[in-house]
Amino acid sequence: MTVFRDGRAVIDDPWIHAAPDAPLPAGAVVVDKPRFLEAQEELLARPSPLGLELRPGEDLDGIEPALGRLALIVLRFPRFADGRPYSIARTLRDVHGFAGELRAAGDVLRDQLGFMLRAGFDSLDVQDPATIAALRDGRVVAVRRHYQPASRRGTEAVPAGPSWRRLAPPASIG
Amino acid sequence: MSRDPQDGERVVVSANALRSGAVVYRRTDGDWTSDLDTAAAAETPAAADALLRAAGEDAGRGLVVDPILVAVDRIGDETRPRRLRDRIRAEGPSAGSSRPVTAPR
Amino acid sequence: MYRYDEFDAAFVRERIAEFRDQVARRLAGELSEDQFKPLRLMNGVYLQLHAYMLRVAIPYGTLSSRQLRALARIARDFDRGYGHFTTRQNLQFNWIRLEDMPDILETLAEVEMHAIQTSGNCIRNVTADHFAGAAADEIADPRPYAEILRQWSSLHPEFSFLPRKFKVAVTGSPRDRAAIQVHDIGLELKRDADGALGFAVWVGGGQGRTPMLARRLRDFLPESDLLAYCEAILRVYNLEGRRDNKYKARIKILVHEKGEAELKAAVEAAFRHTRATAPALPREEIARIAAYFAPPEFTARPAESAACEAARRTDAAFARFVARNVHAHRVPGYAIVTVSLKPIGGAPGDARADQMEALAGIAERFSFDELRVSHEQNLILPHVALDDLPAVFALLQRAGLATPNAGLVTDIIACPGLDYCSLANARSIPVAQRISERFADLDRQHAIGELKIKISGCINACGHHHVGHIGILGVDRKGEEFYQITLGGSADETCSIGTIVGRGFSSDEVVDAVEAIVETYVARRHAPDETFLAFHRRVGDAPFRDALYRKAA
Repeated sequence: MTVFRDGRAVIDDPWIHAAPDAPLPAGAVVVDKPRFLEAQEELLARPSPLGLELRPGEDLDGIEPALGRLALIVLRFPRFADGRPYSIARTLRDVHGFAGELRAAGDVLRDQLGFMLRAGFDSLDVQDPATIAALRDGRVVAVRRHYQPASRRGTEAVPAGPSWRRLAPPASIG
Repeated sequence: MSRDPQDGERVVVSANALRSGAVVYRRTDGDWTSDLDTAAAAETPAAADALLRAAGEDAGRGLVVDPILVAVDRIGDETRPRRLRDRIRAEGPSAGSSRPVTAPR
Repeated sequence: MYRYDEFDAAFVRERIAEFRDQVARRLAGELSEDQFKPLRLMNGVYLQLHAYMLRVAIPYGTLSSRQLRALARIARDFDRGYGHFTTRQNLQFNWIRLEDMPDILETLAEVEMHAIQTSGNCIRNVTADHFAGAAADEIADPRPYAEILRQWSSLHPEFSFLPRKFKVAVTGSPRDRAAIQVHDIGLELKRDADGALGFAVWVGGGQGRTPMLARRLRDFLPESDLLAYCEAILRVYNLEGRRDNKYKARIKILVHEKGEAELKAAVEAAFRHTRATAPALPREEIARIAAYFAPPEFTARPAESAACEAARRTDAAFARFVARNVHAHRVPGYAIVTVSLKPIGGAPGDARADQMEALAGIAERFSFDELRVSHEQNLILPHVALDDLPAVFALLQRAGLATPNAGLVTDIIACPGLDYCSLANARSIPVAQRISERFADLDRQHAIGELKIKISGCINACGHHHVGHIGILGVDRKGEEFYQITLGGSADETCSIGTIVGRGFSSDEVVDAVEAIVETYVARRHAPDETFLAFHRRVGDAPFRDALYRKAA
């Protein structure tokens, strides 16, 4: 598994996913929603950054007040065709103004990366070897023109014409 | 469902060729052909499984898509699918614009 | 009609390049079929019984003659010389090779067409009234809104992996010719007390295994909120629609299981947020798009045409054509013409390349270069001067496109069925052909009057049988084709789902059954102008059941 952010593979990604029912390791740790709800204050009081992983079907109830204190949220795609994380991502960015790292994990494949980044994800936890290779080689060419605003912080220009158009700079995805 | 071959029926395996989409059948030599009469047949469930598995491997290699077993009857040198759907796949649409117009309207 | 600018053209080219790369990776074995399938579906490529099928998008059913000629070229160069117009205003080619796909898409792109999102679990072609911009009863042309929705929904990052397909329809008239009540979102244009434009918003209609009529969530949504409200609906659906069972994954099931009030509350809650983030639609933005749909330069003409009237008196065939296939236009001296793609004994909705070319020429000369596709699988010439009707009729006759049966019993809607479709359980085209031949006599057809027969080859209901006056559903009964008949469906503003009349019929029996139904109606209607639908609504299924199932004396 390789994490990609800002067009590059991340060396030494610090995040450890907490094993269920095991004591938490030191350092930056990602917990799931049930564990977070059980021990919110303790977890947030830790000196190291805290991350939260949500599976599709888990909503933001009970989490909203703490969003500003989470450094990372991971949204898992059990199958690439399960599009629920896209809505959660946009809600986090656009409704709640979540400014931390938003990571896509699970069935993260080359042909959905463009959608993910525009929906607000800014890092990708990739397991598929073909996708990893394509990203490393810079072979994933981003489509530049879009008919809706993106939820990513960033660099899409608003070209002439209808106000909902967007034009991304020429670049490969990452 | 009545479109699945029953155990003990004579079957061949059919699929669509990946590039062209054409209906093809697997031969004993492993090649795929549009000629149903030369398709490899299986007459036991075990043989049918083996045939389908081999076809699945071909699908995995990107030769064909969606292999299925097709129940057939052998009449002389000819192989004829038992079910209407498979006959239509083998012979083309029974009606409509791809069939030559036989009488002026 | 909408014309691409540089941005639109570049968008399509980028997407073709992306798909070309995906096809190459599939053929090279880098993508499995499981990974590739949603990608090809999002580009309109199905795998059917005999070959790949390409469904070309015809946005809100509007075509130019240049585009129709390109479709004819594709039919000739890449297919078997014909195409099939669908119940969602699109066109299907049935014999496509995957390796030819990128070249076909380039040919389409040259005439500002594509096949994006005509399949897959995403927002599909936004359909609209095929008489848009021409009908006398229109409040406003729905097509600018359909075009805005088309753009907004194209490769939307949030809504490209929905639980299931999503279909939107827009009507600009209270007379609903777009079947909005059997769509996932149905939009009805209206004006408020101050004359401002907005929509009644209907949600959760659909056919298929569990047909349901849509619920009206909003009586009046201001036009400026259109995209924000649609985003809210889609977001709730994307998050809460079922993903465990393909047959329960449409939004109509969510409305049914969650409850209309709960769904509305969820949509309104989401709307409070999407209002801030979805693209705004102030009047200037709508006007910018509406400018593409400005009416053509009609000339001032008298309401009646002497030439047309004279031809009606002397040419019985022309008179018959005018009686059925010509409809009132909002501009005096003009008419809307239905070009029937239902010749007696033909495959409903099919058009040959030479017919497409003939029609392109007619549209160019006589209809301001514009055509429409109706969801009843006919083509429309929306703006024909009455003076030109005799000439148009003669040209249509030469092309075999002058069947005067619009809305009559032989104007059958049928899906491709088991002859083409891998989902089908029974054939539909031969049933349509045989019914058509049984009722071939034009005098008889006119005596029967308006009667919409709709045939589906499986429960997915692509033939819209649930909303046929007579609906026919093909099923597989122990390996034999079998046909269930429903009565009293309607797709218009009085939308209703047909009721199953009783035990089904074999392939041999079904045409006789349909004839018995028709004869029952003709014998017992109050007057010739009581339509079949009105008659059924008055008397119910009982007389038909008696006719179909009573034992011979």
